[in-house]
Amino acid sequence: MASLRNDPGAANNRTQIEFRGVYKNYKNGTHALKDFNLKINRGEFVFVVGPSGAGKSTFMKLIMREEKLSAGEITVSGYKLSKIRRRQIPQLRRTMGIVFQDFRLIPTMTVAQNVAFPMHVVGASGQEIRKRVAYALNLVGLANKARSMPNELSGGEQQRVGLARALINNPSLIIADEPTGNVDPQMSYEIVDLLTEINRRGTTVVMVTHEHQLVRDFNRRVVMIENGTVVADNAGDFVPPAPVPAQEEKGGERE
Amino acid sequence: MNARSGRYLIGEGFKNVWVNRLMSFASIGVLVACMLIMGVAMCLTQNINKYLGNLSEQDVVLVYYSEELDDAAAEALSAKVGKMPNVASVKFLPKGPALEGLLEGMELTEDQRALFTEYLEGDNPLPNGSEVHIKDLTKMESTIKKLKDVKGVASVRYDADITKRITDIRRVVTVVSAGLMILLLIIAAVIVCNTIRITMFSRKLEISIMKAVGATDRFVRAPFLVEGVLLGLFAAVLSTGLLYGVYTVAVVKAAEALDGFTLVPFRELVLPLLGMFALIGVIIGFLGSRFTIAKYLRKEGSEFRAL
Ligand SMILES: Nc1ncnc2c1ncn2[C@@H]1O[C@H](COP(=O)(O)OP(=O)(O)OP(=O)(O)O)[C@@H](O)[C@H]1O
Ligand SMILES: [Mg+2]
Repeated sequence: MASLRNDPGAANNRTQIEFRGVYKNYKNGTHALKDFNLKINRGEFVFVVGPSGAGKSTFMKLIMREEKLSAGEITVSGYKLSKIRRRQIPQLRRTMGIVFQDFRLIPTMTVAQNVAFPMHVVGASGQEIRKRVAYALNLVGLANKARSMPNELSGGEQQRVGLARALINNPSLIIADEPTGNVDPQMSYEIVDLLTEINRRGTTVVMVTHEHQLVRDFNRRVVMIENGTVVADNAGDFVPPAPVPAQEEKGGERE
Repeated sequence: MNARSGRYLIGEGFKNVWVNRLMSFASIGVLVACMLIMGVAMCLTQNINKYLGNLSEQDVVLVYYSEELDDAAAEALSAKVGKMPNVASVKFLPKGPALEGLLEGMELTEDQRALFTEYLEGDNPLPNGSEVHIKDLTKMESTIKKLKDVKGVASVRYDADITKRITDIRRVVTVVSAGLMILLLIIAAVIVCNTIRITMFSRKLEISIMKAVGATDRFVRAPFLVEGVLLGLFAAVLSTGLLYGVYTVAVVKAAEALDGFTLVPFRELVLPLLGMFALIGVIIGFLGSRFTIAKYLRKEGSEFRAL
């Protein structure tokens, strides 16, 4: 495997993602993030929750540097994003696997070609690619859809293709924006089980979700975002299944 | 980017031609149309040049040698003139036969003729001369000047008018066809760039996704460049084929219409045409893709949706 865990800032090696006093203003004047502070260590599994429009996708897009931060500092896999150079951005993105809320599959490529694409990007051999694609599609339960086109799949199936693509290069970080948004509850649990298994092998997982039941059942760190800032974070709290119900009554969270 | 990804990207370029076949078809169509007009212009130029070449073959420069040279020296000098630059061929015209020819043309009676011959014996008033053919008529003036400067040449006679006219026509034909070609080249470039821009626009989603999963600019760009070059080459081959068809008909029609003049055979034109088309196609395809994709490579995420 052409693993590209290219981590320049090896000094702070335990930190996978760090947001310090981050602001994000979109061109139209929306203040999507305000004084956003969060630190995620390598190997963590984090659920990100919050109401619609809270800034969850913006948070994800800042991590992959699809959007530029307006103020503050973000460090991802050792890259300081306020200073990152244009030519380093592809390198940054290769340290992570991304599952997009809107799938983002290439419509002219088959499922297998979509999943294989990040491996071509890093110059893997045809043999490696075939083996790995078959493995990844099997993992997400889509082995029989390898030759389908994305528009022939259901929303949930497309989401799972996106997941397979995110896993394909064995990244050190997976960020998944609503990977369970379009699938039935049964499949939601399977997807989170899969992400848990990947996390168990050492990959950092950040997953945005709306499903409170899911968050409750998987006993993990939960970061709650409201109005562009972190309003709750049970980092360090082990086990308590309790902090989650608060999310249902908005604003019921204390610092 | 290594050899493996190189192969993959070239493959993707080929695939894209087919996947986006409607746009490919449009681009090739536009290129072929421009190439055909250029090709017709080039064929016309070649044939006009050949025709003018035929005319100028009848055009001859006469060189007369000084009377101080005896016949042998004059003939030697004539051979020397034949080796001068821009001289295609030379034919020595000795004065003896020239006098006989002159007398023959005068319709004299036997008596008069005998009288002339006796009187002029040993003292032929005509000079030795040469019939000289010039290679490049556009350099006529300077060649004439050089001929005049040769020691032993007494005078040079030529029809200044016809050579000048042929040279002028050739110059006009060359300038007009070159201008036409450049104009068409610009039009073709603009239209092809527009076609590619539409193609790119319809594929901006694809480009944004490639970037999002860590593809470098070069990686995203490569298949587009391959695609552009392929379209250019397809158009070149297609244009040459079509022009061959048109030209074959034209040869037959020309043989009926212009008696005596046969068109330049297509096999003499095919290589320069194909070469010109391929060059134009590859350059326009490559540069067109490169310039139009540059704009998309600078964009990120939501900026694509704003396009
Ligand atoms: N490209 C953009 N340009 C301008 N404003 C934007 C853009 N993207 C998001 N926003 C705004 O920023 C805010 C945060 O949006 P974001 O997409 O991060 O929310 P979210 O938490 O992911 O919501 P959801 O749960 O509905 O996906 C919203 O007010 C949204 O309208
Ligand atoms: Mg979102």
